[in-house]
Amino acid sequence: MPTPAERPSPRTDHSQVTGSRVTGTRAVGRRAFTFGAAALGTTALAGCGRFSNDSGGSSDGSVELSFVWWGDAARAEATEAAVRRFEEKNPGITVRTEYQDSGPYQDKLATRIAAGDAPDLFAVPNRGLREYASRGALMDLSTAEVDTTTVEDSVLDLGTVDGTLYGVAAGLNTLGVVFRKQHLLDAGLELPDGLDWSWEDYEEMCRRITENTGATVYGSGYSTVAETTNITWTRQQGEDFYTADAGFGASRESIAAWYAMNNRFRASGALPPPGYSDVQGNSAEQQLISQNKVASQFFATNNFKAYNAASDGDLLILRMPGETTGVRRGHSIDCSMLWSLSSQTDHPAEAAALLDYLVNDPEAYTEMMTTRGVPPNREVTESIKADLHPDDLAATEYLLALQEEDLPTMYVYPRGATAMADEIGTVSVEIEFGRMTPEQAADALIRVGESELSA
Amino acid sequence: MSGTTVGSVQALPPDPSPPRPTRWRRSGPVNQAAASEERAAYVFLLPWFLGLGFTVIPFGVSLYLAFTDYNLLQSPTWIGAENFTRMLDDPKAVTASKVTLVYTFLSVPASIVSALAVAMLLNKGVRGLKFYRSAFYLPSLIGTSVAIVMLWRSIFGYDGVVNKFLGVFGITGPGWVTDPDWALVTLVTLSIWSFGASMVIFLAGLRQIPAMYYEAASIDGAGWWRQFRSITLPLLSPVMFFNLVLGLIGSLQTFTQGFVFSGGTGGPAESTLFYNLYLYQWGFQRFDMGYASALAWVMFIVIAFFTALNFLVSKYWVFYDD
Repeated sequence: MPTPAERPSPRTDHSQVTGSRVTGTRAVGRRAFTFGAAALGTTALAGCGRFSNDSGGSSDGSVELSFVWWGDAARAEATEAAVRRFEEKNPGITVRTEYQDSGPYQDKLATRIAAGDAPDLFAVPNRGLREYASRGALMDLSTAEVDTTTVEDSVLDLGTVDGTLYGVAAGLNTLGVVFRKQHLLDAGLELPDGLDWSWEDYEEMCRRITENTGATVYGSGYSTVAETTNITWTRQQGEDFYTADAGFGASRESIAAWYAMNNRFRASGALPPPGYSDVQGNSAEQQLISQNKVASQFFATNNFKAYNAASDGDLLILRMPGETTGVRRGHSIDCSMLWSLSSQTDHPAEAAALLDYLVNDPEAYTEMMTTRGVPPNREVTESIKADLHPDDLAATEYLLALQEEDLPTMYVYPRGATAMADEIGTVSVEIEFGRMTPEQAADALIRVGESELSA
Repeated sequence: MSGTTVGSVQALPPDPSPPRPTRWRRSGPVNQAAASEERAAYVFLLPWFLGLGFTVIPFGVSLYLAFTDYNLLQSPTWIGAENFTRMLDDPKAVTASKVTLVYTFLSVPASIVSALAVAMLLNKGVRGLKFYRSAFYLPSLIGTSVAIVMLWRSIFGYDGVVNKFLGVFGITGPGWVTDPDWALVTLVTLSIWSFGASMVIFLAGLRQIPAMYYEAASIDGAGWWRQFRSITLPLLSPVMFFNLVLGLIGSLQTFTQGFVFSGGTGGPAESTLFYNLYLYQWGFQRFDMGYASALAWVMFIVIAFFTALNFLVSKYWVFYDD
């Protein structure tokens, strides 16, 4: 019969489990106590640190503003330089800044406001302007001392909800096509000027490139996930995706036609096969075109310098296809973010001063340049043109040329636009893998458009 | 002599030694050494008890919010049970539940089986046991981290390592990450890869099974499989129960993997739209924290139900040898 001494007891034979020698249970008890007390003390101290926050006024009477935006480290460096200059010009105001990547920033913004910690000045995504404005989170800028006379009305309209100005565009941009010159030349094609090409022309060029490279590089890699392409296409069919009264205006035929065309691009080889693009993230280096897997893509023009740098300077910037062959123009002058002031701010005058500086003072743009797009104030744009990097200049001229033309208005997105963006993302994948027909996709978008959108 | 038959361990004669401190069945410690261990346990748990105060208040508030319409920017307005009835008509909530349940019922059993298999291999007494144990344990520590999920995503990308490897054999792999039919499977694989924590606990449990049972069994002519079924499994059943309950609770709440893998969208085509991710979208991206809170409480009730079910059923298969 085995005695207790032979049987390995869990209490005294720790060596097999922990691989170390333990002297006995009493030592464990005492050691556990001190360790536990130390852990307790540390958590208590950490907890104390959390709740000491410095609020607006500090002891020397100066005002502290909080200013947040989204973007990468390069944009942050430039913005902070601009902010330091503002502080020099306005002694008595200090600015506390913070930034995140665009996804986390947008998720965090509403929570920040809910916590009563709304930043004084912040970037509002264009998709969210109506959401924030209609719920009273933004200040009516006509009551703030910000000089908007220098900004064109069409640009101010981008930040106007139901007749009230809630935000000023931080930078103007629009859609464009970037095309790698070398692949066009290798395929024996003339470099397009992008002024009057049709979607069929674009498809043919891309198909030829795919053929020429033996499908190691596809002619096009445009993404159907972003709603901006849907919006552009819908306009070219004579309709408005989001209407002036915050509704949904795309018809079943035009949506189905868009997805049917995408299927044709894929069938002919102009677009890569399903599942090819697993790019996630917004940085220029991650894009398919920068990895030389595709020869062209759609993009937002304020990123041209980054894209061109990542593509060895080989990029052409062109207008969207179908501008002259559609019912009306598809391009519009957009902004991806607007500067707004919080309606809960303790320092409206100082926050307005910072906003005024960002909108009207050319010195703010010495470092920032066109990282967010072309400045909303035309005079500022003219004054910084001479110092722009050639790529930024190319993108700026591209936009200014478009701005001269008679383009449709980009109406402020309705509430619930996030739900539509999600549905577009889902539907794109379903179409790509042939799990849905273009008509079914159209029905899905219309269903969301009718149930989720509101003013 | 024992007069026992292999397979009914209860037939062994009673042990004349003094009673050992039991596992958690009896109500109080039986001697001073056990009492000191219990004191140590409470000290370690003290931070959690204090933290309880911090979690009880959000619990209560979220229960209140579940009955309101709250957009984060304005004060909540009471709407009664409307959030709950809305859930019944929400096809996406059904999709999210399906995704989560499929993920759980694929990854939890597979994790437990892998953990047990590897633990049994290591229990044979390999050289470098400590190294292997740490090596297998490490993935479970970092498996839910953002960096690992992103790494996984790039390994299984269209042009990633896995597809290149398959390409060597002339197989064109699917888009593990971008194909709606495969994305969830890729995440299940990630979850199974992180089986290390359960493995270490199984290893400890295996070490506590007295060798004499196996000796007696092999003397009586029992083969490996019979020994496994009749000695290992019953004696490991408390550990298996523990891993099952915790695995189920954790897996049903998966968020990080889905969020990072799909960039917060639950894509491709809602194939990685975990329930937790879905309620996150409502709460933080769609200005409807009330509905998100209602979804969260339904999840809590479902998990509590599964856990209770587990405990009820446990008396039929979990064997405590005291």
